[in-house]
Amino acid sequence: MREYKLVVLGSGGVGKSALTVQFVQGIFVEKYDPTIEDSYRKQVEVDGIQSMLEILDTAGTEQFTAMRDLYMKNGQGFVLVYSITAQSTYNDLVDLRDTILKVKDTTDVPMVLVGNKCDLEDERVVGKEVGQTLARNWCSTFLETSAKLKVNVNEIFFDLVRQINKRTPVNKDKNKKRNVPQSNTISSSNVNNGQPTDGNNTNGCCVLL
Amino acid sequence: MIMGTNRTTTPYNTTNIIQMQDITSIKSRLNEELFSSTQESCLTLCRVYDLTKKGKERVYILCACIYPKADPQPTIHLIKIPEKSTETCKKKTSLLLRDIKTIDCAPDKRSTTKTNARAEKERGIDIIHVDREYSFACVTNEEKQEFLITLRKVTAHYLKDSKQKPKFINFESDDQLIVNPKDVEDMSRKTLQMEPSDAITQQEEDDLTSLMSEYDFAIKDAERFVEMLQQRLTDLDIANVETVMASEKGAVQLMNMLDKAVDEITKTDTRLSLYEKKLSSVADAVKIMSRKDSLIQIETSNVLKLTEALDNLLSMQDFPDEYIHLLQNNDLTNDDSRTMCTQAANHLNQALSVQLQPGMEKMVAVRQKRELLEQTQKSFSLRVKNFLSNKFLYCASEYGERFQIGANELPRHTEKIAKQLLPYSPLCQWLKVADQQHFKDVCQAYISHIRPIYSHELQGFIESARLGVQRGLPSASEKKIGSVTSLTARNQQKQILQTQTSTGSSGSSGPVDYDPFSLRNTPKEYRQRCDKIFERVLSQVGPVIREEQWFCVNFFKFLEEETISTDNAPESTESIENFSSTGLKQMLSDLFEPLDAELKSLISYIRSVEPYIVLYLFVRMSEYTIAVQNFGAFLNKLFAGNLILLKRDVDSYISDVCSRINDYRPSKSRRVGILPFVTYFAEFTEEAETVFDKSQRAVDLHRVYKNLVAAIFRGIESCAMSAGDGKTPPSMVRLENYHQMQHIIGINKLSVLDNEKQEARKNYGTAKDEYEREYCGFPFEKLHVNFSENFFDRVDELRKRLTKDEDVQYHNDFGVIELRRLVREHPPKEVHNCLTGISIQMIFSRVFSQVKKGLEILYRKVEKHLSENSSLMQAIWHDIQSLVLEEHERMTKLIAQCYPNSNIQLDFTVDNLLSFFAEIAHSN
Repeated sequence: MREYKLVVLGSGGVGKSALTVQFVQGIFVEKYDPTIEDSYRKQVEVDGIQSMLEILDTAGTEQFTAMRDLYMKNGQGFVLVYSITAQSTYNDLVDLRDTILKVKDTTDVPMVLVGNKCDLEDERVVGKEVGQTLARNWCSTFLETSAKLKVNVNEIFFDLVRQINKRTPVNKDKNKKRNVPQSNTISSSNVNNGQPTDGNNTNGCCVLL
Repeated sequence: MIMGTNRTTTPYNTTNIIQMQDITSIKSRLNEELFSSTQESCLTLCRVYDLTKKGKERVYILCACIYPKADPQPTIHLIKIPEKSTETCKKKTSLLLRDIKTIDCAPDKRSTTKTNARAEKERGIDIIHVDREYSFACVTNEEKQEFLITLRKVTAHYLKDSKQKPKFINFESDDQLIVNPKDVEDMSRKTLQMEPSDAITQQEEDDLTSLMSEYDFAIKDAERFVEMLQQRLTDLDIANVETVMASEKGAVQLMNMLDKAVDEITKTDTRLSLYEKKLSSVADAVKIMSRKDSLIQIETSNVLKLTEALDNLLSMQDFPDEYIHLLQNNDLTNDDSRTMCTQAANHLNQALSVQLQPGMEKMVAVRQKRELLEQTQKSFSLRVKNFLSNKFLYCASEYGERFQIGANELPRHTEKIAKQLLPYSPLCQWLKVADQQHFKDVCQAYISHIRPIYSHELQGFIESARLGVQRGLPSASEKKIGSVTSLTARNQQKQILQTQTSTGSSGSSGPVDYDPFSLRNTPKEYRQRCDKIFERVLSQVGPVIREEQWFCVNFFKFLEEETISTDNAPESTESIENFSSTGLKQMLSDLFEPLDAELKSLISYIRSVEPYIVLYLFVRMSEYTIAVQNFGAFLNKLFAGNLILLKRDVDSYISDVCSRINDYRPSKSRRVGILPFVTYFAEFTEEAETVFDKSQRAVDLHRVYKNLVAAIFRGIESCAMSAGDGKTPPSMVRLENYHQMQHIIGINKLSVLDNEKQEARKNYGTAKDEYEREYCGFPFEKLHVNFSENFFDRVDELRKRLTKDEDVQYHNDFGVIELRRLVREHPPKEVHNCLTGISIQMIFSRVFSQVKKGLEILYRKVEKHLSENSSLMQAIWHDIQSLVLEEHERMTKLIAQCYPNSNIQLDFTVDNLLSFFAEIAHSN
């Protein structure tokens, strides 16, 4: 089964843990306890393929930025969360994304921009179109979610898995293991068994000399 | 009244009659004499002098008339006034209005005499006709105005569309241009109506009447009346002439006065024009002056700028030589001379920071001076650099060995280093401004001299902590670990331990007597000891870093970059310490370079000895991380980073335990009892509750609990499955362990696990039911395999199919004989066979003594399934007792129903059974 390392990022109190726990356990955690770091595993079926998601729920508070580079390096897909009720959380994401791109050393990283707490429409300060514009600039997906009402929660992670699949298609070994009948014959022995380092290799027929 | 008019209006000719008449009477006279025949109507008129005819002071009448016909042509007539009152008026000239080119209302010109130029301008009317030019002067100004206004209206009305019309020049009241045509028409109509009026006006008539009434005899004696009137007239004439005669002197006087006045006016005029001339020359002078003023201002500002530039230049040029000397030679170790040097150096910086005008560098003197100063600055900064570096070296070498292995405290540097160096901080600050490169060198020098001290101390300190951790180990593990004195030995050990922990999950490759599901590998006191040691490390490291930070900020002045005070700063004094300048962070991380790694190695060492201790460390670290959050970015990041790592350690420890639970299988040769990981959970929670007591990270512990319990439940299920063919039935495995889990959660009051507790209780109940039913023999038939069938169940089944209960006994295999055989004559051999699967039926099928024995065997069986001294024995036995009694009752009832006349009875009664149970309970 293919594993996906997903990282949930964002300022403190935007609902990263709430989204993650809602997705993994189907519970809404009302109480706020600042996270240090939690990791979760969940098996899901995306487009008919069983996938194991390893989700890292990170600390939002400024103090815990020490390990950031490390998990950015390891992560394959990123969920960038802000709260629609706090402008500053939205602003913080720009820097965060820059850091990811710097650590990853590429501009093409699977990413979903998430405006959480959309159930609190009365307290909204970040407009939907503002989020959409940012996502368009980033060429990433945009979703407004509510961990409380379970709006668009699964979509975040499914979308991220699809983005990763699109950039780095499942390689040959794993197909064999799962015995999935494969109609195409693009995969050849020349395919790098490791995951391609960037989006240029999406066709998987890069010949390494 | 008549005299008044005369006096004011005609200074030239007093005898002219026309001047004695007012405008209205003239109008009526003209209408009568001239216009009645031509059917014209007079619109307006005025009396004028013809100025074109010099010398003659004749009065004419200028009159605007109109024919009230289809095509009215306004005309201006110049009418000659007859010299004698008996003559009639004559038109001298007639001018069609449209033939007039211009009418100058205030001609400015060629006055005949200087004296009346002004008056003439005021009253003059010039008319330029196609053929001729006329020039008039009105008798009075009022007449002129009225005449002109009306004429204007007439022109506007009648010659509205005509191209040819007179142009009014110098006409004042332009606003009256707006002509209401009705006005003009009214005017002409009025004049028409007035045409037939009498010579005597209403006023005159009244006067006459009153006069007549005064002399009422007049009618009778007209002659006398006329005489009298003539007489009066003569009197009046005489009086008039006399008055005129008398006033001639006054008039002459008046004239003289007027002449004088005119002279005066002329004088004033000339004086005024003189002033005007003078004024205009003054204006020129003012203009010149303002131009001069602005020039002066420019000059002043230029002078100012020049002075400034010169000051600037001079402040550089004037740099005293003794300062230079001071900077070159003064002793920096001496406090006073150092202060002087610092001052001089600051002056030098000021002098060099002067911004010179672009061209000034080209001046040789300036350039030379500048070079000299720069040279001085360079040499002095080099001197300062070397001096400070030497100071650092000196301090470092003087510092000596202040740390002993095994010491509990990190030495403070304030006394030995910070206090020694702080007096030189002004020099360092000067250097920072003067020469960045040298300043960086000084920073580097500081780091390279002080870092070894810190490295040595920190390594020694952490090593001591490690030794402390090791010393507390119970003797058995100590042998295993051996002595840790040298660094290499320690590293080797670390590797060994790491391999142990990495492969530890398989269980078998761990230390010989290491039980992965027990906290008894090390005593609780030892874990607390490790916690204490770790706390001491943190409590020592924090202040040392803070002191060093304070020194760096004050000595190297890192703070000006940014000093962020966070909102949640508990006290304002502390928030000042929250430095996050990058230079400071870099310096601290250089100085304390080995600290992070040392901390990590200490943590991993402790973890390798007993992984459970990471829970202690995690809680301790979280406490300290919160405590230092306002003490600067470096300390903050150091602790927070390690906290995250400890969190990961906790998680990996738990997932390790979970996977071991998953892999655990009970031995089949032994009783399963309470599973080791359930016992472990009890130990785990009990201790964890005290560790996390009041910690803010309790939420993390709760997550750990949930994960553990989920793993344990899965473990119980899989252990029960695998125990199926072993010594303990699966239901008993579940029964005991779920009961235990529920118990543990209950006594530790783990309210977060309420749901899990419910689940455990439910599972326990189900397992208990299952177990009891199983061992009481129904409804599971396979347990009765040693009997041909479960007789009574089949009887019951048959009974339900038949209409009458009694019919059962007539069926094959269910006859009375069969029953009797079953109840009485069960061979002892079968009893023996049944020992592996005791059932109540078997018991019932015994004779009296056999029943008792069966029960005893069952009791022992249950006892064997359960763990030793289990509190569950009584509960289960009680349940079994009631089940047995129920079954007895059922069978008795069935026999009575189905075999009513057989006279067969069970060998034993309920009382018998109860006494059996009591006996068994007693004996155990």
